Amino acid sequence: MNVAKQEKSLARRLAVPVAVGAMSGFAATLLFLNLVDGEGARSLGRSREIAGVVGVLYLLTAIGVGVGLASPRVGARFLNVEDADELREQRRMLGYSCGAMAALSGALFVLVLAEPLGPVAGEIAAVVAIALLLLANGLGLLQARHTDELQRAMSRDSVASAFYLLFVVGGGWALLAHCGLVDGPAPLDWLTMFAVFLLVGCFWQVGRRGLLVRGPR
Amino acid sequence: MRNRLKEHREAHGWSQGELARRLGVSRQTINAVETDKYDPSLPLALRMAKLFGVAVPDLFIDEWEPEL
Repeated sequence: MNVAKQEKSLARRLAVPVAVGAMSGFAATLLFLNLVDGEGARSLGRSREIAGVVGVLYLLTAIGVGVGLASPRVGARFLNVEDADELREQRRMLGYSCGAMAALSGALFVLVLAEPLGPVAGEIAAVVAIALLLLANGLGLLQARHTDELQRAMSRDSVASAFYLLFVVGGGWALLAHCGLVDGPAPLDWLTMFAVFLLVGCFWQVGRRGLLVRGPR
Repeated sequence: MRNRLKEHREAHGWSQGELARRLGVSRQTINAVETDKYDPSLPLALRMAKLFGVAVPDLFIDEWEPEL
């Protein structure tokens, strides 16, 4: 198969999963926002809503990877892999990654639901969130044992991108707040920014290296 | 950096998966190197050259020339 055909077939193969992913993300976000802002429910406020949406994104990503691991043939149709065997070969690494994303998602959800605006007591929310974040970090360390040099390079670049984004957006926001021009970021906003910029950094690096398409650049 | 990894791999009759297994890396890494999306580390480049019985410059083509 020549390069043009290979890229075209991959683009065609990815078109449906990307569309389905975008629609399910949009639907899950709408559902979450309706749940937290629905009639009878107290508004949780903008910071908590955004943290919840980021939690939904992590959860959807974890579910996508989990489905791919449970059924590699199905996963190969919508995940960015060459074929089902690639999912089987990277089963352990992806399993830890899936668990870490689910734990991070859970930490964000419990913080969204913490007092004073949510129903979960502050002490319980703190203990559960810390435990889930430690679990996510532990799984991340286990995942690192099963990565090769390309994946380690991607990981380093993703973290560096996340740091720069956090510095520009979070730092810029804090700077403007310090000068009294805007309201400062809430503590939960910082946690949300750490989580979302890590996700953005990963996709940024995968795209920048041309790894979303398998043919030559 | 351009390279002749695919050429050497195919000359040995190996799949990307087979080469990945022999080098202890993922198939994704072999694919990324072959398609010029990733330049391997020096240790991996040395292992590749050793596996194919060639010198590193025969496998990876650097077109840079020193100014005289």
